[in-house]
Amino acid sequence: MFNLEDEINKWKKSLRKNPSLEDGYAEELESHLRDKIEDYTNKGMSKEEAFEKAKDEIGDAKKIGAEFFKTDTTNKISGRSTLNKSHGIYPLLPNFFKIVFRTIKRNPGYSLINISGLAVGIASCLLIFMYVLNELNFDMFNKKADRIYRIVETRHVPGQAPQKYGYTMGPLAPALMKNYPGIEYSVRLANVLTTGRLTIEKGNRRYYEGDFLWAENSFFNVFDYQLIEGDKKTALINPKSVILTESSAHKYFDNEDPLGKTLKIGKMGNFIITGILKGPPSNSHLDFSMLLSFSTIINRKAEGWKPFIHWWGSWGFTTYLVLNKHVSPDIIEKDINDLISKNLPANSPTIRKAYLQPLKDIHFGSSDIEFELNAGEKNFESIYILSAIALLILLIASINYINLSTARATIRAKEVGLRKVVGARPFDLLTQFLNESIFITVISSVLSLLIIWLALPYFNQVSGKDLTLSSLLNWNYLLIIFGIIITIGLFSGFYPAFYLSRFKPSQVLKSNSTKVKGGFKLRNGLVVAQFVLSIVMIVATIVVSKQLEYVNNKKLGFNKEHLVIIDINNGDVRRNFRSVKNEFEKYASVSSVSVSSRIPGDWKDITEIEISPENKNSELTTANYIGIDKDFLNTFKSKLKSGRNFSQFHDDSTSVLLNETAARLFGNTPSRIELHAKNSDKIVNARVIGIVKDFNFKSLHQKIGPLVLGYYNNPFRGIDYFSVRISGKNIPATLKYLKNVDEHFDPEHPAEYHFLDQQLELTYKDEQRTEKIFGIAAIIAIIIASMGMFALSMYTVERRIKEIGIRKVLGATAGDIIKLLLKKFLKLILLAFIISIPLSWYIMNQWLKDFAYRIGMNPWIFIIAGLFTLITTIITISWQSVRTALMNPVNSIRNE
Amino acid sequence: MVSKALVAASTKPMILSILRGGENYGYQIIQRVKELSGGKLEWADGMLYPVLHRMEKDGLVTTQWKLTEGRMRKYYKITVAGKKELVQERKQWLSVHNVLLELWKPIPSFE
Repeated sequence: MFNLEDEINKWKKSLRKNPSLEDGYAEELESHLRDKIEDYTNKGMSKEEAFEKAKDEIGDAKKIGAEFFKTDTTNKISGRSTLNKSHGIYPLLPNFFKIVFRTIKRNPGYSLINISGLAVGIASCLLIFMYVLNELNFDMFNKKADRIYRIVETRHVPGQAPQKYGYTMGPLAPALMKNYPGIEYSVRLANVLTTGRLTIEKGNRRYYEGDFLWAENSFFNVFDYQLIEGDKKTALINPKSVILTESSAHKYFDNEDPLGKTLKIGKMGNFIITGILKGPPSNSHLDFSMLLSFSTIINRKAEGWKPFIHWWGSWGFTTYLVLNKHVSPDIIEKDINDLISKNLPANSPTIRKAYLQPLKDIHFGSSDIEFELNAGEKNFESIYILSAIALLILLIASINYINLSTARATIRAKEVGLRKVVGARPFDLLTQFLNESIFITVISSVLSLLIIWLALPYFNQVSGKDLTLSSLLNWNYLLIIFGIIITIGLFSGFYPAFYLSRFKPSQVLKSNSTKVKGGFKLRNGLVVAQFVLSIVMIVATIVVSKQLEYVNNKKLGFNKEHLVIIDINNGDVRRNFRSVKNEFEKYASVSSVSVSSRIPGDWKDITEIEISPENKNSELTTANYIGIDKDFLNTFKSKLKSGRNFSQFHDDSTSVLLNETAARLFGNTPSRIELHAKNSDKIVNARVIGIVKDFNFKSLHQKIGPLVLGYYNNPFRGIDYFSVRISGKNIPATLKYLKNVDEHFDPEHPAEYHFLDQQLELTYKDEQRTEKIFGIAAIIAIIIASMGMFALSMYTVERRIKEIGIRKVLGATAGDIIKLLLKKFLKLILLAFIISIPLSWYIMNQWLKDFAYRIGMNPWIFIIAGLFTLITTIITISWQSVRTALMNPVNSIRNE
Repeated sequence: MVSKALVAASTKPMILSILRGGENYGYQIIQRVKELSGGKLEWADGMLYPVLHRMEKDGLVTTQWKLTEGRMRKYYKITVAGKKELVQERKQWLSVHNVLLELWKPIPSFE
């Protein structure tokens, strides 16, 4: 039975299969068909006859498509009308935007991945670039930078190796200024190493600070730090003046304006705040929280300052000179050494010479200089490494981008009707790709700026810098960046056009013959390389995290929990420590208290001495020394292996405990040893009363060395800490109690206390930073590698589309097809995995060497890294695979 | 019958002129042309629509689906640009036409 509707529907379906029919066209033709049929049936034909006649007259799908092409006046590649060719570029600009937008809309997935992958690559590269720029421009904000020099001394103590010092004697600078005309300005600075820490009081708040600088008022003649408030010329002239940085101002005065107000500093009384300083910037080798006027101490007789500063045998004053233009530093160096040799006390055996170090050399060139003010000091190597990494990231991201564009272009060329491609003018092809690629590159760059803006706060936190986007607003940098972006855009436009033009027309029309030799291996190799990189970064991140976990949780041989360490900063407290101890012990939450000269994991250097067996003139071995009391072992819960602890029932003033490592040096059961001080001739003849089980008294970077635990009353180092073990309950109240007791005995200084476990964690802050950086690097590596994999999969799938169609016809399920596609990529991942295992193992082994106590690299780490990469790959290519697997095989087997 | 080239060249001005008189749908346009030419011009069904679509893309006409007489039909309407284009086409056509008319002024050998 002839059913008109069914027949019409069948006819419509066959129309739809023709890819050259646009949307809505089939409906329009259907409407036309029905009109025709109506006409014919009105004339008297049967429905069937009318249908057949109408159908014939309209023609089959192919003919309709052919007619479509014949009248098509649009260039298939560029989308431009071929009617009027001589319009030039300008009228086409709006059209060009439309076309590019349409292209992006048509392939949102591909465009998104392409743009974001490139954006991430550009953003990473730019961030590193900004960091490197900051480092290379260290101290360059000073206008007189190329005339500023720092005086560095070389001191030679006979019998020892000469040593360089970043500071010099007090009277040198004023004498130079007075006698030698070549120097425009000089400034002397002193810091906590020379003058000690200061208690700062505001109202009832007390702070104990060490990051200040004493500076002469010529400071602002030499350096160009900015003052937000106050007058550079006068702020440091008067004694007892202080300039606060913005953050200190906030710290002491909250939101008040501190200018003109006072702070009580040390024993010197009230200082008046004469300025607020901006910064200092992150690329300044001087880092300070406040500047105190040098004039305060220069004539101060108390504490012996005046004679010290004017004494030619002194030290500790960091001195900078600004030379007049065209004056050679060599001449001034000679003048300096003349002055020194003239004025040095004649009987000092130490030979002191000085040289001038240019300001711009301070940041990278001071690795052999001790006792210097040098914040953020670095090795120049790190700059090379960082720059190389930045370029590598950019290169990989660009190559991926070009790959993806090429893969996409190949596919589109077929979709669009290859007859036109073959006949298209090469110029059209090229301009089309160029337009698109430059446009997309520009969008990626804009997106990368957004990424940088979002990531900058976090990046600054991790890197410790204060980078801003405005640092890039320099013509030179912008030009370079712009040039690179345009190059990427141009290249990624040229390459697909070039790639397509290498095909013979006949090859292109047969959709499975788009084989071009050479590109294949390279593309695969690149994907493998990117995955190797990703796996290595993941392994690295996991290893660092695990090592950190390990060091924070490892049994150290003593109990670090709930241990409050209170610094002893006052001679009275040191003398009356027994009373203080008693007061501490009275509190219920306090289970034990001990005094010692140093503590395990101390942030200060642990005293070194040399030890040898008694009376024998044998070699001296270096050991660490801590003076303790009888409660030390109990407070720290370290175990005695043999012998006895210090006790009040014996005279233990010359007794010592050795740790196992030290004892082993002397045949395991020494009874007496000799202790030699390192910097003097003191020798103590000591009696060994016991051996303590080894515990980690230094960071886990180092193996446990020999340790001597001596009496608290010893000639090597006096006591510096109370260690208080408290219960875990009601900690704030306990701390308050301890603080009050300490300040009762030492009213001058605010109580300084830390929890030992928190303090120990800080020892590994470099590794914590590394953990963060590796994590981020791993993410970036994966993003970029996924992009590469996406391009490869898109390309591969397209090449095998006919094969897939045939398989489906022969009965393969969607699942089979997906498995088939995955197999190929699995091989690549497996290869990447195999390469990356030994590589990452070697790299992380080297890093772990830094730790004497380290984790073993469990094979699980590599497996997890590999699995993670595998899953990412599967997700990346699944969209492609699923789409292909679900496609109608008819569409893929039919050619055009 | 009229040559393909002539048919092709005249399609656009004809369509624009027909639409100038009011909006129309494809089938109706074909019928109109057939009427006007007395059957001498019979446009192939499949030939019309590509031209219409091209003209829509070039902005010479706009389209709208309308429900008339119980069926959805796609109606074409001339735009301002289309009207301008028609003026151009008319000029060009007439220039050719006038030259030919001049050339074909009664010459004995023609008939």
